[in-house]
Amino acid sequence: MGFLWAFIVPMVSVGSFIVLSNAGLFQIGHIDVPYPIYAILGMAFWQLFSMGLIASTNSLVLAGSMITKINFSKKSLVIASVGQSVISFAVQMGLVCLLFVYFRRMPDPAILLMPLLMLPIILLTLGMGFILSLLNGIMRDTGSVITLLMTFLMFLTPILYVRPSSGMLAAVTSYNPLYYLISSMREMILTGTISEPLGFALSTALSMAIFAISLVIFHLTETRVAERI
Amino acid sequence: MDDEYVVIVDKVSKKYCKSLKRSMLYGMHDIGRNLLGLSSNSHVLRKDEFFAVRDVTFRLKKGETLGILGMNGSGKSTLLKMLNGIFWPDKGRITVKGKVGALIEVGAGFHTALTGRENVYINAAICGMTKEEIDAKFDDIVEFAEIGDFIDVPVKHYSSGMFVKLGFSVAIHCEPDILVVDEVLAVGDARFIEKCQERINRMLERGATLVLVSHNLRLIAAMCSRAIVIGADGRLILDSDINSAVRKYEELLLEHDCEVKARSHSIEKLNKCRVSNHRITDERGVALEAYPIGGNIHYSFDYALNPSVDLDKVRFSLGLMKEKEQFHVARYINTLDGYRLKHHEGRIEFIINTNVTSGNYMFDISFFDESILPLDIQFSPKFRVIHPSFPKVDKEYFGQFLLKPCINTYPLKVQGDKKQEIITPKKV
Repeated sequence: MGFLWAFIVPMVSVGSFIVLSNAGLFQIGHIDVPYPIYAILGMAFWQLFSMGLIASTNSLVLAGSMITKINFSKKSLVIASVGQSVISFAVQMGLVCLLFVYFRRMPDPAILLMPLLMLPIILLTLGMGFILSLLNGIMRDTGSVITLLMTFLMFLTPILYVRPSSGMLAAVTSYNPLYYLISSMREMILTGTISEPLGFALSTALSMAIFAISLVIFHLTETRVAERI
Repeated sequence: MDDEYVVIVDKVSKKYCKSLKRSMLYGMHDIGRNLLGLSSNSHVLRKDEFFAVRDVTFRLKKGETLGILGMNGSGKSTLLKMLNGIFWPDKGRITVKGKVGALIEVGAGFHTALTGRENVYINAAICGMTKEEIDAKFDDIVEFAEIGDFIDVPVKHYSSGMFVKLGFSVAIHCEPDILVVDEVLAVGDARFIEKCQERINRMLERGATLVLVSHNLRLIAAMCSRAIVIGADGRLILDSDINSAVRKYEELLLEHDCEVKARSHSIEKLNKCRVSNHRITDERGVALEAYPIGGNIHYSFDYALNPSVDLDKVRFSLGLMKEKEQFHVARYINTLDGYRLKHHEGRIEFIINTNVTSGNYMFDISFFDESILPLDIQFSPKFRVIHPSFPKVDKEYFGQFLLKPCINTYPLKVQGDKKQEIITPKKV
């Protein structure tokens, strides 16, 4: 089915949420745009992170036989797997554009800034991917833990619903960089403004720091993984 | 002084861990120490660890050919992987000058769902070739590998021989400065191995260096001028010329021949035969630079058999090998014409007519008794045969025919006033 998979996953998750909320099972919150656009846009960004992270965590182990026989820079494996998730993301954005046409809405011109806006989350994915792939190479449990964590985090992070104004979830979310990165990007596309610029700026800085540190760590230790993989 | 060496292996050791859980823990520990810039305590063996390679030291100059001999499990592949940079030694240092091309395993780096063509691009890129280089050499690569139309078929349908051919073809076309070959050539057919050897020779002429691991003694003798022997515990036992290394390797094989026979029997075999002092000359006893086709070559060596050996049961075989090939061009076994040795010690001289194509050759001589393992195998120095009118080496000849040497034997010891016995040569 090839690239159709890039569409199916978000459509299925979002579809379930729509059905559940129409049945009155839980509150999505107040949003200005049609829910499908809101949800699928959010999912696309989330998947860029979660799929990228899961793929890169497993990338070294999957190429294990090649690593023990050929000498090459393993950074390429991690970068390639994140690259795959970027391509899936591009396909999903195509779906989003179709939705905009369907609902007769125009995205804000800031949509052209998309490649730039994507950078922080890609850096975060790469950064965490480098570290986790190393850990997974040495301790295989890491891959399964991350997969589990991603599912859990998807519900915890307000992507498919609006962030509640009070309560424990609200407090936790204010420290979640993913929330800031994803919702700010979504806001830029829908309205052209970012309502929480400080959060976004801090999250971006954190992403860049994680990327820089983990790149150095990976570079220093990538050869060690070959003995244990 | 260090400049002339392209490969320097200095007191290199490598540990492996037997238990999986501990391996993970040690892995985390080592990475932590790496990051903090601390050296790992590699000379200490933690629980469940063992040394695969221990204190190996050798140096290679540009253009040298090194063979690595050792029993299974002695750490040869680990050593090769360290030379290739796949992992770091736990102790010691490896210094390599130039590009290393390695053939460590058949079909490594081949993605099974992709076609041969795509895999060539991937593997050549891993070797370090740019897309333009690969495009230019692509046809040569496919032609050398003799894959033909199958190049556009997914590689999961390839046989292991095809994998080796394609992998070797890509590795050779990368033009590495140091070629490291593990036991992969065992899978190829004879014609392909010849082609590989010819290509390797070309590379060596251009100044490349070769490191070859094999259990095939003839291949190592044909391709390498120097050999190291690695023992079962990972230590370097011997680093010297081919004949000594081959003999040492045989000793190791016999020492480990415990399950098959009683240990004492095996060690006995070690002292049963000794071949030494090889000489190649023409009829007048002069060692020439090159011998003319059609003339006679005299090849002689001293032999010493243990008095317990039954002379009637001793077989010896003389093989003529073309340089850098592993197959005999011609062969003689004494059981075919019933020749028997008369003395336990002496000097044997073979007189052989050089009706072969011009080129470089060498002899190998092996002594056997009833069992499969030889009493001794040795190789003569190399010599050159030329056609007087066409001194350049021409196209290789492949095939095997029967050598019919004229054999003289002389006893070695002269006993007092007794007249030296001369054995009449057996006419063949």
